[in-house]
Amino acid sequence: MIEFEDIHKAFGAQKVLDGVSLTVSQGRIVYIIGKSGAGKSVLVKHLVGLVRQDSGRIRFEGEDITHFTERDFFGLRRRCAMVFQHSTLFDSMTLVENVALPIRRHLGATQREALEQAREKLALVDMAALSDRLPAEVGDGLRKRVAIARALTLTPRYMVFDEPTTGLDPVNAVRVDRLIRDLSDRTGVTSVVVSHDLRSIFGVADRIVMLYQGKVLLDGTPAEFRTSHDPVVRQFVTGAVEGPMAL
Amino acid sequence: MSDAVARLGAGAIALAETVGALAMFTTRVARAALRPRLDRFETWRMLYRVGVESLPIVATTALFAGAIAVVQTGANVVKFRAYEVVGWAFGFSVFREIGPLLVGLMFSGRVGANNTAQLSTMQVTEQVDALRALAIDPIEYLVLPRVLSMVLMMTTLAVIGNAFALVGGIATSWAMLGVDPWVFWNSFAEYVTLTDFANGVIKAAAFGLAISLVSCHFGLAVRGGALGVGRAVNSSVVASAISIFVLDYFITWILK
Ligand SMILES: Nc1ncnc2c1ncn2[C@@H]1O[C@H](COP(=O)(O)OP(=O)(O)OP(=O)(O)O)[C@@H](O)[C@H]1O
Ligand SMILES: [Mg+2]
Repeated sequence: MIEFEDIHKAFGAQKVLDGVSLTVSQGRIVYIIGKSGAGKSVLVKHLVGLVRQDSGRIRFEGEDITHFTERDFFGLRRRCAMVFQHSTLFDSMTLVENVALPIRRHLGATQREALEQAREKLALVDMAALSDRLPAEVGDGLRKRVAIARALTLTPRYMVFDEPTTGLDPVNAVRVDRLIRDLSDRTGVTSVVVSHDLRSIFGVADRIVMLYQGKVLLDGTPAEFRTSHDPVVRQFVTGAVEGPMAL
Repeated sequence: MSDAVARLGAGAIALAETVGALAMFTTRVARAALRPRLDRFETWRMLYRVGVESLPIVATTALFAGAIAVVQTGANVVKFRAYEVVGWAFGFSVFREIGPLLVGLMFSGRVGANNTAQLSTMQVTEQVDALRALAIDPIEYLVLPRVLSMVLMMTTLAVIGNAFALVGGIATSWAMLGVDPWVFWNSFAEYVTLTDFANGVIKAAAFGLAISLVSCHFGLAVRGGALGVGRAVNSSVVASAISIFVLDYFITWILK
């Protein structure tokens, strides 16, 4: 279980989160939506301690992590992995070395064992053939798949996906959607997913949280979103150009 | 007038901030070094990269440093017919002072600048955050191997550089002053002591440590996207050069 309670965060004069509260139940998939710049990435980074709140409280599996130090967060991050919005593969390492790194550092494997296991992980996302390429030599969508494989190496119980399907072709987007659903259904992984992809959102989410102007505008099931009469939610769901959503 | 004073004051504050941040960074690195979980793979990679990057330029620099030292003293050597001290003068100045200083500055311009560029690029593209998200400490994984490789490589390069400088010195004094290589070598071997040699190597190790800490600090502390990378590299090279001169002053003074 993950609980955010009245989180405030500003960068200088720019208020990004202005009292956000939300709860993610065990084994569930919650999608965070909102327009560009709404603070979705900033919100989810709080969970792994990459951004620290100005005020508010965060609980992770019942433990108050609000005042965790960087050292404390290292333990949490092994249980809660994050896939970043933009490719954050290490550009001086090949794809397979990227995936091997956490295996070597955390699972006590030698470099050779780690590379072997990493190749298996890459095969799971259909990337085995390209495993010796450098990140710069493959496209964005492929990099994202490798980043997902890398995040899954430590078999985390919690996953944060920041726009996992953006930049993927439709077939692979569906694959990633299915992966997220499977992780939850088969192994009880709890996921927080940031997305703009309406098909993923309505296909996969157990619950949807919409951020708007630093606050939670609506927190409900996909059905509740479809039938909402809130003009901002309607505009987001229909993708209308005209509407109350400020640019 | 008051504007100039204000700017001077702002400069002093910025300098104090940088020195403070560097001291804090050094403390963090020292603490990580106490319970090292050094990544052997990354360390080998860094040693290799640092070596490959710096060996050619250091060899060239040292060759010319040796030659220049002879050219400088040449006129006096000829005037006083002091051919049998040219090896000593060369060894004393190059091994103790000019060699490590030039090698350090070249090393900083090449390896240090590259290092800052690489780390700051990793920082602005969130690769450093990705490491943290994988529960890998950037100080332990990125900084320690770099510090270790740069100190080791600077020490090694100082020794190799001395050999190249010697070649440059002997060749120049032979070609320019007509000093027989054996005469040069004898005066060198007789007067230049192990202390002179050790002195230079200690300096080189200290410079390596300073360059590694400064270049890692400026790399990880980068602010402001791709533009910030350029600024970080620039600050890193300037700060490395300053710390080389300051260290040189104190070490020369302590070991005199
Ligand atoms: N480290 C930071 N320093 C300063 N401002 C930041 C920082 N991180 C985010 N911001 C600002 O916070 C705001 C929200 O950013 P965030 O990345 O969370 O948006 P987002 O909802 O994820 O948008 P997108 O859909 O485009 O990814 C943006 O205006 C951004 O400029
Ligand atoms: Mg984002």
